[in-house]
Amino acid sequence: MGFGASRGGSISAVLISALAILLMGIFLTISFNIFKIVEEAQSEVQMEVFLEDDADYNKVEVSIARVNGVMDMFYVSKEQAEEEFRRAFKEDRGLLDVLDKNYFPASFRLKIDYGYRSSKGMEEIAKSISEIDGVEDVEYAKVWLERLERVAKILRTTGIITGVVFSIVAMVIIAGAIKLSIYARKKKIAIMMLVGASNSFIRSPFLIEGALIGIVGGLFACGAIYAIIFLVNKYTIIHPTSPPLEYMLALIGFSFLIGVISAQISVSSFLREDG
Amino acid sequence: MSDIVRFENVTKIYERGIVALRDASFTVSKGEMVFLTGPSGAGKTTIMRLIFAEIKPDYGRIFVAGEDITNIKRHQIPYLRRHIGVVFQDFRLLNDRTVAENLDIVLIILGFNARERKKRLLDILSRVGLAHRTNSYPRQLSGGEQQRVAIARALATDPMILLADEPTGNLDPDTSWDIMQNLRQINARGTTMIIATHNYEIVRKIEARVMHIVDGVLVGEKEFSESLKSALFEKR
Repeated sequence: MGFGASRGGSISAVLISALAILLMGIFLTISFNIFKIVEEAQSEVQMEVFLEDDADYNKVEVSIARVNGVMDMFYVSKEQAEEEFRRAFKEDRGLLDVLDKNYFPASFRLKIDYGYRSSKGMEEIAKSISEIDGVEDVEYAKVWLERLERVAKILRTTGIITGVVFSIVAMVIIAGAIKLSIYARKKKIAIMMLVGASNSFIRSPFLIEGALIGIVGGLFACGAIYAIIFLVNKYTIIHPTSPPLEYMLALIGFSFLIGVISAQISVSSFLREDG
Repeated sequence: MSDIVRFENVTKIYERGIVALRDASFTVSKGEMVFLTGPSGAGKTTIMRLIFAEIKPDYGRIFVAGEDITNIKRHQIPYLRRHIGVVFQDFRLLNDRTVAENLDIVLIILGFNARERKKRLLDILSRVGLAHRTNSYPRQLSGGEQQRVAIARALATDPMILLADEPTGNLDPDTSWDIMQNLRQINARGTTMIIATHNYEIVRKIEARVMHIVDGVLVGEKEFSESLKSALFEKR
């Protein structure tokens, strides 16, 4: 059976499902690249704990070390803080001249555990630390972090919606192609049922056809994604990386599943009507 | 149990309330040959369809080979059908396949390997006298030959029962007679045969039980009787 009598239907199903998978894949690539940026940004997230001038920094250090989520810390003395400021603003002579004494507080710069690098985790840590005796203030890039998280959340939601919509499109198209294929062989199926062919015997060639449409569509889509990434890198100023091979294989696998499921739906509805 | 088909008070009502079969009870014994006669639309085909479980009865019970098939499960139907061969008036062959391929599909479904299939194919085709036409396409054959292919296909599962629904309906009298002789030979080898027909010429000539059905009601389940048959024949 396979791609026999209704080759036209199968080929257009391959192309359209390839297109649907391609759009999913492009979205996957974009999300992947943005997530990478988000992740990099999150890895640089740190927290600075400013100390009161008369604080015992050893005691504070011990207390901070007890807070969950603190991975590492290093001490910045008042002198180092001033030094850093002077280096950062060495062009602004006037500004530096105004400094008649060291206004800069000593601080601890903290590295935060992976699991706490969210705005919620950071807030928790900041709250615990600000309660420690001798701590004047806790600062971290709160707004920036929240914004990053919002972007990631929007991406995830859009990704899911896009995935669902294009999956449905692909399924409708493949199911239609399989239906054509079934109707082209209606007489043969009727005869096979008459002489005692089991439903699975009748079903399997169509499931194989659906699987093939899915796999071929998925392969087309992945090829197109690599080609698009290559062209974008070559001719534009953005330089996206292609998602890792596992992602692409998962996409093909997903496309295969869509093919099988759609075929299953078509054959089952046919067998119910005619059984 | 020598009953191979038993209907107990079977009623079948189609959509829009058309009663195709009303309270029908009868049995067919193993190895028997039965004619099912009656005008078109009387319910002959309904009885056939009930036997191979294409439709289910609304009332009553149906037994085939001792099994109650009244409420047969969908997944069991294929196994029932492997015991029942069916032949239609319009042959229902695949015209883009050769005679051999038409039969081969059945043998593949039954799970025979290539060597067994070849052996069986020749055996079955010679039983209907078509061993020399294995590679012809249905359209290259006469109507009678096509019906023989259909009979061969029905025999491929080695069925206990052969149902023939107007097997000679599309054939000229001589060819019809040949087909009937062929069916009789097959019956003589032990296959139970139920033949729906309104070819009373044939019914009169062949010694077999006649079940007459009118408007869904079995009216004449009697042993072969020349007088009944002639009466029926003259009525037409």
